[in-house]
Amino acid sequence: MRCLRLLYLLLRVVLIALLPASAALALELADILAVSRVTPPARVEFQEERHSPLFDEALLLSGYLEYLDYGVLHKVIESPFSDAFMIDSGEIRLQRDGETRQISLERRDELATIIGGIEAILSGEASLLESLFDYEIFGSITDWSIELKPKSRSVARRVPLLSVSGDGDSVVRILIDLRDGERQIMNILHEASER
Amino acid sequence: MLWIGATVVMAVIVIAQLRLTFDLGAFLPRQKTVLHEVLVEQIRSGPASRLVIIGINGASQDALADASEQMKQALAAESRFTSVANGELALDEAQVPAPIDRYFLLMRDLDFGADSLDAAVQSRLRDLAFAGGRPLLDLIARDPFLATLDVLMQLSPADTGGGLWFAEDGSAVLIAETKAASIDIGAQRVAIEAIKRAFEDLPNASSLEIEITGVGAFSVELQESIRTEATFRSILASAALMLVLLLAFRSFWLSLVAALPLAVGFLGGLAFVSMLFDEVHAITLAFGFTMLGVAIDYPIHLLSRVQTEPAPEAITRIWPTMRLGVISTSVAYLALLFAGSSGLAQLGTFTVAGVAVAMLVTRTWLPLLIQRRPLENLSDKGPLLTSDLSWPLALIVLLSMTAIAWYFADARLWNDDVSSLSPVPADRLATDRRLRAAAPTPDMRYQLVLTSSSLETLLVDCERADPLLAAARAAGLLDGWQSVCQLLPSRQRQAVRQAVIPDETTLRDRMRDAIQGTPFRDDAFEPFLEIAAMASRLDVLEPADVAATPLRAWLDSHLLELESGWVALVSLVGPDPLALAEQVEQWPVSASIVDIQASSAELMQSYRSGALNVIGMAALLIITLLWFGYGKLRDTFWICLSVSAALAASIAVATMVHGSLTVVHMVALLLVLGLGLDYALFMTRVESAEERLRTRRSVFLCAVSTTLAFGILAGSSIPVLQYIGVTVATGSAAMYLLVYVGSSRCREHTR
Repeated sequence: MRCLRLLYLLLRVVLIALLPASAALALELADILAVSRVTPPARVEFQEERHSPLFDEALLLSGYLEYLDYGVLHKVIESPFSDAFMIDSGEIRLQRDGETRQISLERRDELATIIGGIEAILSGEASLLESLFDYEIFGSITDWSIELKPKSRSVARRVPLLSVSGDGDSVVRILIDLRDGERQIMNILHEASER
Repeated sequence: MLWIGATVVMAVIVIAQLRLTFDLGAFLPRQKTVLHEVLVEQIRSGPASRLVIIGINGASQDALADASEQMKQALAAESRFTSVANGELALDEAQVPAPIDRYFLLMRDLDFGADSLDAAVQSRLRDLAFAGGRPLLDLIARDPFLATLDVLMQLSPADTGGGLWFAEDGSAVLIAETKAASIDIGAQRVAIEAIKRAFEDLPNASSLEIEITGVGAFSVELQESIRTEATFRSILASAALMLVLLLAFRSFWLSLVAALPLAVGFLGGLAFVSMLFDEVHAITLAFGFTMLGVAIDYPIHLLSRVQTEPAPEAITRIWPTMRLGVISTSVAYLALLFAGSSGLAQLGTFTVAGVAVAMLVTRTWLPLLIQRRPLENLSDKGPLLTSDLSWPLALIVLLSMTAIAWYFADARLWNDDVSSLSPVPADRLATDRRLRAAAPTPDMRYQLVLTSSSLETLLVDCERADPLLAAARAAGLLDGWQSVCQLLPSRQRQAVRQAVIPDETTLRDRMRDAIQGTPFRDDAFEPFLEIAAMASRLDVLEPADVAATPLRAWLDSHLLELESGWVALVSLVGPDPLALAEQVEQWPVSASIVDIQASSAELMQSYRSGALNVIGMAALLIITLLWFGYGKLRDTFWICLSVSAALAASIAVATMVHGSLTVVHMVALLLVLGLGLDYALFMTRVESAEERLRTRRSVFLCAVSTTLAFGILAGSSIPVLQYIGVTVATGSAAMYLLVYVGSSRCREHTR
């Protein structure tokens, strides 16, 4: 199955290469989502940089992400400390030091929007993505990025930009820009990913 | 001319002096025990009573969530609300209110040691691995312990932070806490209007529906419906009264004249209380007018005689009886001065003044007015005034009233639910329950009460109770609590907390060590260092300091200063009352779980028995008066026996119909007593057979008109009107019959 998918992608790359240059630039959202789509369950490891006005250097996190089912995402931080977040059914369950705290995503617009965007990328749901963001696509199918700007003005005031980048196989980086110099960059580690 | 002048003067006084108030607090009983004081304070301004519950429906959950948020922001900007919650503690809106903004480091036990600071910094680092945004960054920089959030969440009347509240039917739910007490209906009305305005300002308001419930909201609604119903019933009763007078006297002029003492008496009473009191309670007017009902009897006695003799002679003849009746009635009404509340005292003053003026009008003005009109012979005007029919007619009236009483009794005899007597419609109460279920609000029935003669001791006790409550929560006996020491720690505790704050240099060094090896900037916690330095020098927080902040209403509802000392009321969220009460008994702290509902009943019983004692004393005084006035012990005995028997009958019927007596029944019974004295005194007059016929006729007319007018009130759906109506209508009818029997017995011995 994996071989077939790789073959399909290779074929697409070849076909794109054969097309005129203008057509090659016209990368569609559907193309991106075809690449970014992941069938659960899946797991990738990540490294994350979190920049904040309170920091003079980025906070570096590492751990893994599990896409357990459509709408169910598990983020586990392993270093420099252990925390885990389960996103499921419109709420986040934060597990810390053996305790679990539930946080509803209702009215946490910016968080709900960011998570909605990531979920749309993973599930390949164009309609969900389009309902939440205005988007712009850059690059080619082997080296693409999509810049997502929240449609909600109140969310956009706090989260001006969400940028997802990938190669011909998968998402490789998620960047979230917040106001006041806050920025989060999550790098997905390819070699550990399973698709 | 004199009376016209006097009436104008009274009207001028009323216009110039009358200041109406709708605060029902004056009618709450004066308290004898600390618990009663607490209860009355709870009724006045308890936290649960100040909550307005708002439900918004009619759209998708997302749209309702938006509406909920917008409503919350709009209402939070209104000065009349202490707090507005919709289930979320939104940091970006959490303008930390004074005095928490300056005193939060003294409101919690915090460890400023190196390890604790290190743990706090690591925790905040973990928070920033998950969340962000300017409000959180600012909060962390000022308060790495997040003590501010802890305090704010504990003080909130409902549990926040678990997500927006939605009721079972999908309504988004908000809870607004008004600054004004629920019994301040005027202020509650303004608050409700502000909520409606905020709702109408929502972009999609036309497609949404709003429901507003809560004690204050119900009070506002009820005031409207009671006013409408009372006006309607009063007009109907007045019309019935006029009809009876018209049928009796066959003269529109005489019917109008008969109403004059009542009208001028009302004006006189109003002018009198306007001069004596700064404010006149609206309820004084309503009940006062009812109690002045006895004044309609005076002109009837006069008018029943004027067809056979000139009015001046007739009034001279009946004057001693009328005077004795008015004096003894006034003694009964004066008992209200000592009945246990300032509102009732005002009511007593009003009615005594009103009855006195009505009597004087009947004595001096009415004879002049009647003289100026040609009088026909009323005895030829049909059978209504013949005394022969009075017996069977009175019997029919009494039987009818008994039938009505049985009808009501049948509907209510087996209903022990106190809320069945509540004037709030059942569907509104159901809506309230449905909306409240969405948010864990403080229990309205059970509270933990701590008392002490000194504030400091009380606060220390509260602080000792806090860990015990935490243990009870861990044991599943309650979900949460709000205690005064969470906002206002004892002086002693504040001093200890100040003492543990290290000096600026030490704290700076410890913070530097704590952030070492983390990405935090060296100056990231500079705001915290400044606040800690300030907190260590602050004067200890006192109630007066909180009084000038938005948290005053919160403090007022959790800390009471009574004549007997200080009381802390700890609101309980989701308590298991019995198990918790058992545990509280074992505590080393003197505290008790109070069942507001049971204690309220006890308070009202005590109120009633106290008032009845006062009335009993008044009764003794009346008996003495009658004895002196009449000079015959036997007559006095028969009068008292008849009146007492009729009162007992009235009490029995009222108890049977309404389950128990309330202060409203008591007021109505006083009127029955006044009526009974009037009937009895006239029926036991020593007079000729012809005169006796006229007397019986006039008393019968008095009884029929009163019974009819109050029978109309008895049909009301509003409990207060029903209480008065049933009690007075049955009382008046029973009084007539028993006085009639009593007077016959009396006459046999006196003639």
